[in-house]
Order: sequence, then structure tokens, then C-alpha cells
Amino acid sequence: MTDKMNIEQRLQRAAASLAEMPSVCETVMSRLDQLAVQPARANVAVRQSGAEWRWRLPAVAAAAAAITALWLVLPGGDVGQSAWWLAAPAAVAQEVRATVDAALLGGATAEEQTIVIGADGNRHTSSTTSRLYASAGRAYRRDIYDDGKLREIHWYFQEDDALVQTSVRYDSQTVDVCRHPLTVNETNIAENLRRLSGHIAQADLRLDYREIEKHKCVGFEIDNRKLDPAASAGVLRVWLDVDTKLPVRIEFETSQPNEAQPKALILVTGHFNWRPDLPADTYTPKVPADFRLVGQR
Amino acid sequence: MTQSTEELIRQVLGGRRNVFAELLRRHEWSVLGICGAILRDEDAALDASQEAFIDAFENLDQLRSPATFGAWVLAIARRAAYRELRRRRRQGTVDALQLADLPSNNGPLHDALDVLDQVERLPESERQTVLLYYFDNQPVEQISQATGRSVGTVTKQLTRARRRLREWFERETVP
Repeated sequence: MTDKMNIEQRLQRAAASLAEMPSVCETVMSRLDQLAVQPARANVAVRQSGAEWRWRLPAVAAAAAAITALWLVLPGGDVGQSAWWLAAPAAVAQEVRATVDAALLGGATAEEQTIVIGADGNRHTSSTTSRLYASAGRAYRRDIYDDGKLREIHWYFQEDDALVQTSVRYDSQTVDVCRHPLTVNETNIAENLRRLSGHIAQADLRLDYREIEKHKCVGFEIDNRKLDPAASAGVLRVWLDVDTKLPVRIEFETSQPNEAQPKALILVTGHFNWRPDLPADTYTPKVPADFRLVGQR
Repeated sequence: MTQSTEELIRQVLGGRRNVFAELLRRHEWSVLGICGAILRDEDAALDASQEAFIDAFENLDQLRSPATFGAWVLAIARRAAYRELRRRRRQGTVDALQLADLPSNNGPLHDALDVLDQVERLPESERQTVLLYYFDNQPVEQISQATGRSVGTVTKQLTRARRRLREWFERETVP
């Protein structure tokens, strides 16, 4: 008779079995947080702030020679210590990587916010802001604010062969603890910063000097399809401090393919603080005693 | 108080991206069920489920009737699962025939596969209803809104689906 179990019971047992599988919720939400860094499908409405001049990869030798000659006569074009950003992208990337690696030894913090461009062209800044923390080690953290109020904190640290994520949600007064494979590090600002150098090596454009957050910056623009051939179009812009060579702002711009609603999104990561002076327990999960544990996987 | 699907979607489209987690949690198990039935592998099903929800998020503003989110995300999940199947076949990481023929040999998905296999055989409307009702614990009224069918129709679909499933299972257990 057990084989002829009531069909309702069979369905309920199957549902209960599935519920034992790991939830994809945290991973999906983490990936959504990173949409601007690795956007999915979208056509790109690039609003360039003005390319000083451009190079295309791969460049033919003649073009490269001409460009090199041009660099030498343009203002700031003496390829040397004072204009490191004028070197070939691969060389710039190498410099940036070394600088970022050194700076990350002291940890870093940054802020992330999304700008939505409506069909009418108006910009609207999302009310959601993330504050990102990267330790000198492998721990990191993301605080999510909405309308200026702290809504969630996600702490991440490596334990044995897993990445343990502890998420506290203040709206629902809940806590969730989840173990991910170590490959899940898309939310780690330190890893994203390290990857930047690889992106810069593939830059398509160098952007005008621009002052951002009181830093004099040069920018590099990269077509996202170079970074992820499976993805639709998107543009990554990296702005670097000309003095420190450190990232000042990272922008990822995508737009919806639907022309009737040409909505574009720009995820902006900025307000970097290198070697921040943080409390020792910044990366230790702090769960209010009365919060309900809703998941432990 | 539980917020309606429409309200949640309004909030997400208004910029409260984190609210999407609630939509995801409401439909996570039906999406996983459909992906598991097609891919027959836990890791592949989890990957496809993730992709389905990312797709749903990215295209949320294309959803004309927010109340139908549940049925809509199931359709996206089906596409995501077949896309994952094709991707794995192209990469050669998994033999597609093997995926189609052999059940995962352990874990929760394996325990659910005999039921999911039969659910997958149901006509689409009944399959949607069964997944939303049993896997997402959606009440009949919400399924009615999600599928655009009357409460009476949803109830009849559930009855018919259960009858079909019962027959199929009984046929399987005949020595």
C-alpha cells in the first residue's frame, strides 16, 4: 500500500524534499547586487563624457605606431613617470594591479549606488545604497541602506572550503546563515578590484581627465562583451586617480533592449577609502538577540 | 501582513531591489522543481533556477500583469532549464542523454524526481497549478490571479491533475 500512497502526500513529500536543497535566494540577490559589474542581457546606451582619443584592440601595427607618435606630441603625452596612463593598456593594467594589491593589504571600503535613466532621459538615483567593506584578509561585508536606513548587513568569511554568509535583515528582524562554494565571491569588492586590472588591459577608450570626488582622474572604457562574450552589450568605465593610480569610481552602464522603454542603468561604485581605520569587529557578524533564525544551510 | 505580489513588484520596480528576495522565496521551490525535472541534476537545477530569477528580475518591467508573476516565472524557469541543458551539452560537461535518462543518484532532488517526472508530464495549465499549489503553497485564489483563470477552473485543474497523477503512479506500481 505504501506505493499507492495518497497522491497529495506524494506531492507534499516531493515539495518537502526540494525544500531541503540549498536556497538560491542569497546567491541570486548577491548577483543582482553585482549586475552593474557583470550585467546580463542589455543593449548599451553609452553616454561618453568625451574620449580624449581612442585605441582599438587589437590594433594593427601601423595604427599603433601612429598612436604612439600622437601620444608623444599631445599634452601630457611624454610616456614616463608623469603620465603612466598613456602607456599601453596592458602596462597600465599591470601598474594598477600592483597598486591595488598593495592598497588592499590595508583593506578598503566603498559605496555602491544605482542610477536609473528613464525613458525621458532623466536620471534618478536609486534609494538603495550599499556600503562595501573588504578586509586585508578574506572577510568582507556589505551593508545595504534604503532611504538612508540600514536594512541589511551581509558578512562573508572563509571557513574551510566554504564561504559563509551571515545575513541580518532589520526589516524582518531575521538572520540567515548560508555556506557557499568558495567560487561564489562575486560580492567581494576586493576580488572585483583585483579583476579590474584585467579589464583595463582590454580597454577600448581612454576618457578625458575629470575631477571626481576631488581626485584628478583618467578613465578607461571597456566593452563588456570582451569580458564576457556570452553577455549582451554593456560598458564598464574605470576612473583612476592620476596620482595614486587607485580606482576612484567604477561605472557600469547598460540599457534595456526594448526601445519603447529605453531605460538605462548605471551602477556606480565610488567613495573609496583605502586602508580605512575600522573597528576590529567590523567583519564579525553581530546578530541582535531577538532576531529569528530563518535559515541555516 | 503578507504583501501582495503586485505590491512587491511595484516596490522592486520602484528601486527596492531587495524586495525581490521575497518574490523569489515565494516561488523558489516550484522553479527548482521545474528545473530539476528537466535537468535531473541538483547543481544544474540550482544554476538554472538562479538564471531564471535573474532573468525574471531583469525583465520585470515587461510583465504586464504583476499578479501573474508566479506563472510567468515558471515559464522563464522552463526556458532557463532548457538553456542550461543546451549549455552543458555544448560544453560537454554533462552528457545530455545521460541527463535526460538518468536520475540524480542522491540528495533531495532524487527523492522528489519520481513525482516531478509525472508532474512534468501534465498538461501545462495543470502543471502550473500543481507546482504553485503544492510546491509554493499558494492558495487557490492566488493561483487564480497568477494564471488568469477562475477559482473554479483552478480547483478543477487540481482535481484533474491529481487524478492523472494517481493513475500514472498506479500504473507504475502494477507488477
